Amino acid sequence: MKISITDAAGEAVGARLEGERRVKAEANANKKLEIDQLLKSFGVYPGLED
Amino acid sequence: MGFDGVELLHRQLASEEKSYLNGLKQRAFDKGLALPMLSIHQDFVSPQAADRQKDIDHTKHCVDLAAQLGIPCIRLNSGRWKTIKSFDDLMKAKGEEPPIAGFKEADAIKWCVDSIRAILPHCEAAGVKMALENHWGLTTKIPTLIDIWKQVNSPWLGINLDTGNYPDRYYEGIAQLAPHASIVQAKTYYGGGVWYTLDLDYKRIAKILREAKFHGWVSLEMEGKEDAMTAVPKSLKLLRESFA
Repeated sequence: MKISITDAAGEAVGARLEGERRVKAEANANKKLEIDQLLKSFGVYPGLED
Repeated sequence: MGFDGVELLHRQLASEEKSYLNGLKQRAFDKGLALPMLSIHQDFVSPQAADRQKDIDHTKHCVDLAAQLGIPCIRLNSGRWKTIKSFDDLMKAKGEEPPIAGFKEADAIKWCVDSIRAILPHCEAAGVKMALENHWGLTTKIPTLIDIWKQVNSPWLGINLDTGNYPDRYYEGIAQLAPHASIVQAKTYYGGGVWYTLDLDYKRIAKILREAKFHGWVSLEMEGKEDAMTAVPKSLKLLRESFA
């Protein structure tokens, strides 16, 4: 089975609810680091929401 | 890190310029990474035809972006009524929202089916499939998701099976979706989830998917509070062992 990765905070429930995105992103900031690094190394720049 | 691919999110793209998209595609190849899916955000649950058309156009645009990136599939949501503003309240209601006054769930299902059908020719021409996700919204209810999928009835619409978006009885939901799934998004919650935590037995889930003859991508979504430096490798190891 092939395994890929997507943004940790990105698909978290509620991330797309207006007004909750920033809170959600801050809550996830500490655990996004590694994945952000992966994505950035890849040329993708994670924002504050999915 | 040991992954075979990266699932991109439309909202994370720094640019939609062709040169940027081509650069992503080139770097993916150089790193030996596949790009299996582009996850987009749209919402077809609106009584206003103009609103739905806006999201139909947006989805077509994202299909074009995926085609430029060489990505064969986009993740699709149904959308939701948005009658519950707070996500905490939505969770308390187990994801079930009351319809907008004067409308019924059947109306929203029709809006979704009609909107998706309007996009199908664009998908076929571009060679990009759509995968409708069991997400918080209309498709939280698995029978509703399957109903929409069956009504659309096209090889260009598949299902994105998310292992974590269930208010309850998640193995039952996974088993219902597994025979129809084109791709799986696999949630882990090391350190506890931000909104909720599911204790998912991935060996059991892998067995369900194997029995359903699923052979597609499994895309990790680590949603726990634990440091990603430890949680992501643990998640990958878990998935590798479970799906071996």
